[in-house]
Amino acid sequence: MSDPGLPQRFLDLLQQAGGPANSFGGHAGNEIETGQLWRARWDGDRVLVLILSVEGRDVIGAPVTLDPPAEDDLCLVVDESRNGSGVPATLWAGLTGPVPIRVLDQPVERWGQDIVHWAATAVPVPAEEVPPGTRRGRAIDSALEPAADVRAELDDTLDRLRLAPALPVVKPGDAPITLAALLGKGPKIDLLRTALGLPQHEVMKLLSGTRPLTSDLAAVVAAETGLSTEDVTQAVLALPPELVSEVEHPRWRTTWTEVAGRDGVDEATARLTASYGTFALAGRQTGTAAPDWRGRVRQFLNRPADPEPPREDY
Amino acid sequence: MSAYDEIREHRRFGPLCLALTLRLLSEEVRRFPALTPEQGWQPAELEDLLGEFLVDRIKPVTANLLALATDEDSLGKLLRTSIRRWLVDRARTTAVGALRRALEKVLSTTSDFEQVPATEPGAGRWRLAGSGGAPWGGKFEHLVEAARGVPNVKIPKWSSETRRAPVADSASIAAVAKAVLAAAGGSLELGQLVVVFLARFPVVLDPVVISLDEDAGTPVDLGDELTPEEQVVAAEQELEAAVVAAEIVGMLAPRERKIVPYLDNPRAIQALLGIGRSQAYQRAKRLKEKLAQLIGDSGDASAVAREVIWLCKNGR
Repeated sequence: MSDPGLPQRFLDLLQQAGGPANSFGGHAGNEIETGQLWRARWDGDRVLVLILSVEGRDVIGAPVTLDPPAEDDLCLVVDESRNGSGVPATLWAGLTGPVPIRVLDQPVERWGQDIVHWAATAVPVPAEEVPPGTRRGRAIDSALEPAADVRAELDDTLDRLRLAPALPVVKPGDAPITLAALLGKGPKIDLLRTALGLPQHEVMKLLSGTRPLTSDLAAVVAAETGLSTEDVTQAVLALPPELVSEVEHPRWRTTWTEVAGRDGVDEATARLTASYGTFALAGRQTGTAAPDWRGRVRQFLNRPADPEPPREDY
Repeated sequence: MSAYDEIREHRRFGPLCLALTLRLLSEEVRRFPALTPEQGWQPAELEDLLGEFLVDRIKPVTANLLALATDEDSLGKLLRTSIRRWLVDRARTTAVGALRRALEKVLSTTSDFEQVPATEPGAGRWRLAGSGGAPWGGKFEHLVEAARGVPNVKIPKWSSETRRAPVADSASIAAVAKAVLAAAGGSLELGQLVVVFLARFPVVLDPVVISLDEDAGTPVDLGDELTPEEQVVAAEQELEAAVVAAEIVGMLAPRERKIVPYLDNPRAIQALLGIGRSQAYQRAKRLKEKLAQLIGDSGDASAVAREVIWLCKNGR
């Protein structure tokens, strides 16, 4: 053993313990389908979710836990023969609800449709008969039981995941509000240039809605103009739903994480910036066919680096 | 190579994950005074504890980390949570052993009970003395109901820094055991009695053990609208309530004391502790249940409850 402080018996024990199936944790592909078990993640929150159905920008999912061995009476405990983790997994059907696709991160494995059906129909009264290789969970009799704490923590984690930042999307009938329209006529550019420390062409982009208005920028604009932060935040150019569906898809999660790391921003800002960039790029392209947003995101990401803008203090 | 790289590459714990586990276990176990050995935590005891953790939890913990960890930081947080939850289970198991011993002591030293002799069916079980009851085979809920029907269960005085509060005093344990055995109408195994007691007193398994504050139990101002005779009686009652309340406050963790004044206001608990909606509701619910068991249903229960709130509100 490389650490002389720890006895060999521990490594022997670990060798004997075995582990999950080789496929567990890295299910191929990232198309979202019913019956898949996904890791959902945003900031420090992460949880396994079994997808019961897909509805627009959300999946309807039930959380799954592997550790600790907690359960309640609306749970289905799925034994090792029906999942690849190598241990019983607890499916919390009572906590089923919408989970935004934008927080799905990595497919872990696929579960049987009989389990999906049981979970999808478990609330309010679960079916007496359970799928083979599973059992109903035991009820929590007292709030002092640790399982009650585990359930509450799971519920709060799901709540926080639902609040992960979303992109502004065009709704039918909504007229776009740009920052320029919100501020009205007047000498805005110089005011914002000074307050935001940005060159003129970037301020112009902000006013026209082609540069994303991050929360930091929105707070400064609100302070300078006397508008509420909420009003300013809403003054963004909403994006086409097809583009939003594309960039919020988990196939791009790794890219946004890498871009965020490279640019020193958070994942939401990296995604927001790329979305506006893609949209602006599409606006300069011609043709009447429906845009291939996936191709355009790739095109945006592969574009040559912007030339350095002239320094305005020269 | 980091512990995260190690588990991603080998899909199991290796020396790096093991070293991290030992470090986190050493940190976390200090939160559980009920688990502390008499001589304190020595390297050999910590290694034994690590061995027990691995035997119990290595497979689910490994699967959990492979599924959810995305970097070294998240691996550390997930592993710490798994260790903490395992220690909670350990502390609860320790408490079951303590309850079993307390129960056995009361049964064997009280003349109301007898052990079934080796010559009779159910040898070694416990029954009411002279009842000659056969082994019980009824509904568990019926026994729990009988246990819940015993009034005036008293919690004992307790002020240790490290030890768990006993579930109830000897007289109360005997009264509950008597009611349960009478409802059974026959003999019960000690293990069956333990299960009934745990259902009646789930608070005994609660692992948080914090001692009584030095200054708790301050007598209250009685006011002057009572007659002198009434004042004497009231003073005794209030003083007793204050003493009991102080003992109960001593059994609460500092965080629990903080939220007692807000038990009916989960939003305030949410803000106070910086936790989510469900956890705030759960914290309030579990603390209400704990207090209900600790305060009991004696005649002065409401006075004790008021005193507990007053003490917690005033930071005693």
